[in-house]
Amino acid sequence: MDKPRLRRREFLASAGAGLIAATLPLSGAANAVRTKARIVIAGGGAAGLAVASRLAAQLDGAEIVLIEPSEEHFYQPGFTLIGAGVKPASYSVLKTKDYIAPDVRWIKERVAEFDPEGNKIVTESGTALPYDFLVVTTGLALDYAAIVGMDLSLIGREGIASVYAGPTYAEASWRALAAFAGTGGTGLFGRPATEMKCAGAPLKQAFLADDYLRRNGTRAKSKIVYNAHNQTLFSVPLVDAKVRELFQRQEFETNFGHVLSAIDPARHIATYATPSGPIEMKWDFINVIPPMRAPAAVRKSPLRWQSGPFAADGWLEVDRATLRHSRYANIFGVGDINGVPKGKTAASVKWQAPVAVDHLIGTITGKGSAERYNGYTSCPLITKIGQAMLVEFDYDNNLTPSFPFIAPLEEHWIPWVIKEKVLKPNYTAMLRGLA
Amino acid sequence: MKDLSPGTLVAILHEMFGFFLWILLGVAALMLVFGVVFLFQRRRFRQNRLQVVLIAATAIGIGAVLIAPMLTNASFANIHGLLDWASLGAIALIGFASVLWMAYIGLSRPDRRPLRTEP
Repeated sequence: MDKPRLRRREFLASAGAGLIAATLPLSGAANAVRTKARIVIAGGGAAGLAVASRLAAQLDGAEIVLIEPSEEHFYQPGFTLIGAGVKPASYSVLKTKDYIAPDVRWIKERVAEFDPEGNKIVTESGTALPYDFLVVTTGLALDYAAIVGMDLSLIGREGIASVYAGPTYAEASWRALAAFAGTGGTGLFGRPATEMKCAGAPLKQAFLADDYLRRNGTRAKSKIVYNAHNQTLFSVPLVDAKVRELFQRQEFETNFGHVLSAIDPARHIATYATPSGPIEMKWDFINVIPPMRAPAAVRKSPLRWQSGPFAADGWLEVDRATLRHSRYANIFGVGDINGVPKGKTAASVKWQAPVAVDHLIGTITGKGSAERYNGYTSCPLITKIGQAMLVEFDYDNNLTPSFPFIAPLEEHWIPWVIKEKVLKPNYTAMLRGLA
Repeated sequence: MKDLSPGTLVAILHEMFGFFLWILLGVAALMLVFGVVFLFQRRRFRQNRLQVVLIAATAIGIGAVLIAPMLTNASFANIHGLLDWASLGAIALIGFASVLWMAYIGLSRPDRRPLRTEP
């Protein structure tokens, strides 16, 4: 009985998506560009799926290949909600196949090597795939090993939390947080010195821990310590000032220039690299955020930045406005892999994907493109369960609120509702190229 | 959230409700059409029914406000500032107006009494 029901549901979903697609300007075979171009999309996370959907809708006859090993797709913006006990682990788990457009060929592998001179990539099994255009959407790599003593198996034990590695780890992190909220003690928070996805998440997790301690009546005997990696709490000055104000209000202890370098789970001792040498701190709860870098295949390729602030961790060298590679005109980058300021969020992907796709198609047609990505990104900065600030900004640190009636630096219920109810459907619509 | 065009909004709602969205929109469209047609007719409510409907609409409006924060894992303690209270007010108003509208369509009857004319 299950199978027919699934088919019917799939049919209804497709019918609905098709009905919507017919109303949107990007779709419509009549407007599709006819081409025989071979396009390889390296990585099937949020960026890869969004790009694939848009290319499939706007091109007719192109050979679009998506390279992605995982059959599961994680809605990563949900990890903080899972880590806060608001949602179960299953909330973030989607099926990759449900978001791959019918005209896209899916190769369930990982890219092992980029050869931009030869216009081909090589997969882990050794298959070479030539291309006319390449879109790099590999995402980033979590470097837990860079923190001495840290291991994924520790998450959820010994007061260690870390939501980034996946939904089950986010759920294990919630168990650690709930236990800490029950007993109280010292909670250590902070962020790595590298670029990272959703730079607001470390702040959210500190606020959420504070909220649970207060709810459990254990805040008075607890200490929240936030160790910032540099001299700011947030890269946008206006937001930084607001967060400092909130930290003061909530009585957080703040240290600057502290980067987590090692943990000793048996003794509950964390070591931080500071300008004045290593410092040890004891924890009852610690939120570990690993350094984040480009995946090895990009880091070891000619595609990486050769110099400048994005070179050390091997981020993709793209023009920050057009997202076209600075040295290889037929290569584009979308999402976390891009070596651009800010912009490692799903909101950034939503705005980057149409720009990169428009430039790629403009190259095929010879008409070019005037589209520009201005660095827009968004962070619903949760300050307690049920309240958040909807912070949106661009490359130049301008606040760019979507809704004039939502003040970006004020805590409200409505931004929380957006985070809790609206962002996931917005995200899945983006994967289908519809948002 | 920056480009909440009608097309994007429909796409997001479709992700939320699936095919059920089209049923909801169909029902809403029917209610709208019936409502507009009835507005051009002479219709009347029985007085006692009107009172019940008004009480039900008020109760639904208040009920919607009471459960809205809970449905989002929040509480009334999280309602803060004009934006949140205005949103709750809108929820109450939508609940109230929807019940009133549905009752008008379902319970009002054509008024066939002859029009009074001045002697």
